[in-house]
Amino acid sequence: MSLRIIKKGSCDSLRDLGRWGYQHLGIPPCGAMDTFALQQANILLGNDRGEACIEMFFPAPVIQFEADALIAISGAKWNPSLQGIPVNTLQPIRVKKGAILRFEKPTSGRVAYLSVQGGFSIPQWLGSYSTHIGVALAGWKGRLLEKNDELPFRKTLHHVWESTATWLPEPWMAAPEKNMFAPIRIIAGKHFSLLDTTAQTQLLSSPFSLLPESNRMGCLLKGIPLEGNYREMISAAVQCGTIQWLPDGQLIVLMADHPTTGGYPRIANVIQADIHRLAQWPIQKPITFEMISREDAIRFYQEQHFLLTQLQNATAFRLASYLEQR
Amino acid sequence: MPPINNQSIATIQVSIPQGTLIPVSVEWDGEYCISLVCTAAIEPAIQTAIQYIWQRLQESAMLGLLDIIPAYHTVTILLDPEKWDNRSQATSLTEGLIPRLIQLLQTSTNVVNLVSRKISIPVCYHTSMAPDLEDLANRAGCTVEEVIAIHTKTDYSVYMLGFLPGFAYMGKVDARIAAPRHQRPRKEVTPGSVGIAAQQTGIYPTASPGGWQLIGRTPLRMWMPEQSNPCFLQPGDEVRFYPISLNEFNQLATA
Repeated sequence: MSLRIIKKGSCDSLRDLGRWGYQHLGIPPCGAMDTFALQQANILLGNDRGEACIEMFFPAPVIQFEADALIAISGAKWNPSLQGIPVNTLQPIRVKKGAILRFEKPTSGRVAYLSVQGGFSIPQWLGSYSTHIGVALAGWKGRLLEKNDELPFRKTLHHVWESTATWLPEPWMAAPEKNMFAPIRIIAGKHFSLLDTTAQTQLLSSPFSLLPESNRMGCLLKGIPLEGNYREMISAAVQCGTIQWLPDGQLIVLMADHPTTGGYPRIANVIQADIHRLAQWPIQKPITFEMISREDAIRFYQEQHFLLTQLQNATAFRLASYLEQR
Repeated sequence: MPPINNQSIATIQVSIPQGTLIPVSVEWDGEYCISLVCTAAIEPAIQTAIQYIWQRLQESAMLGLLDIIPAYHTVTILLDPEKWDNRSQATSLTEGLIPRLIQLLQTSTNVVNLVSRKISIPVCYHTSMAPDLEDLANRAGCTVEEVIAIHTKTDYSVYMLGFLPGFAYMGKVDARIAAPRHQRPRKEVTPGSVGIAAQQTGIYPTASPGGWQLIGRTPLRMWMPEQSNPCFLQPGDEVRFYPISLNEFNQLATA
């Protein structure tokens, strides 16, 4: 009961919702870049929302199933195929032993997730499955996935194949996200007022482009350098979504692998509900920011959370009748 | 004009041990994040206040907090968005959490003592383990022995951990031996290396690139990932270094 990496991708690792409660020791959460997509992939299979998934960047890995499995793919759309035939994302697929999953071509998005029903049989470290590459712990042997890694499933899939097909889609799915490229919403940070008024207007009106050096630690932005009363601060805690103002006037948005503290001015925060859109934002595509109130930011998070709850309720119903038929 | 959020929630007076009142600003730091902020300075008195606030918050075992992160003059509280949904008074941030937080910190009737662990750390200042010691002594206009004497005669507080898992920022280093970071960081610093950067001292827990001036090395492991508390040092610890010989280093390192 496992799957095998038959060709490694550029940055494949095991992720969950993150390792919380250890940032006072300098240990960052290191969870999924797009926790919304990770939760969708899990919910579709009836897993715990925070079950570990394979997180992938393009070029993506080629994966062979060494046992029958019920899987789901979410996040980026890279034209996945099983045995060369295109399959949908955001839809559970029953896969027969031996089938090979490929991602043919990146159409949209930067990070994709693969979940298996029951999850992967791997140990947690400090309450989380998420890989910490820096200290080489958790996830799969504390590192990125390599060719021939064989990731064991926690559960055997009990089912009856009534067809000769090597894979079958199941009849339920999640709705794709709308407005993926709407402005990224932010709320003002502690040091926003250090920007001069021109820079404040620039932040909220000029486009920024996402640099290719962006990674799991942060999204590097390039735009008109922002001017103002720049000074370094005494280091304090930072979080996923913190927008730091760098000495050259450019910006970085901290993401899942951010260090726990930082001394650059913190001019704004990307709202929690939009982190996943930033994680999926195409390299070089212009980003604009929209400033909203803290109350609205909370409301948008709750709306997003509600969507996942709705998906969970709908899936539970389908999953129950699906299991009854077996 | 866009809505600029007013980050400030309240300024409260927190009583810390020895009867001092410290003004603390309670501020939003993100929609699910609150920071408690003292005067911006790297000072032992402020460190005491931060340590006191951090310990009170930890003891309180309040639900719905993901992380409580102390730094030099701030304690940052990350809230679990799933626990705070504004659907009732109890789960509302402004009606539920913030008053409880303020009440907890303002309760001056039972100011508890600060608990800080006192930790002695052996350091080998032998040339082979202290690539920057001689330069630092020259810059300070004193002998290597004097630098060691100054470095080992101070009680340091662990202000915060950051940069790497288990990397403790300690202060305050005597101004005579303060030294700036290297312009170009070393590609790899050996675990256990003891460094100085400005008026701070620290120990590299794992191999990593690093720009601090390296003046010695400890045989103790700062990073113990197999343990439930993987870090040798914690915020608030009081640390004193003592010199050991190369022989003693080797004995302790293999022990």
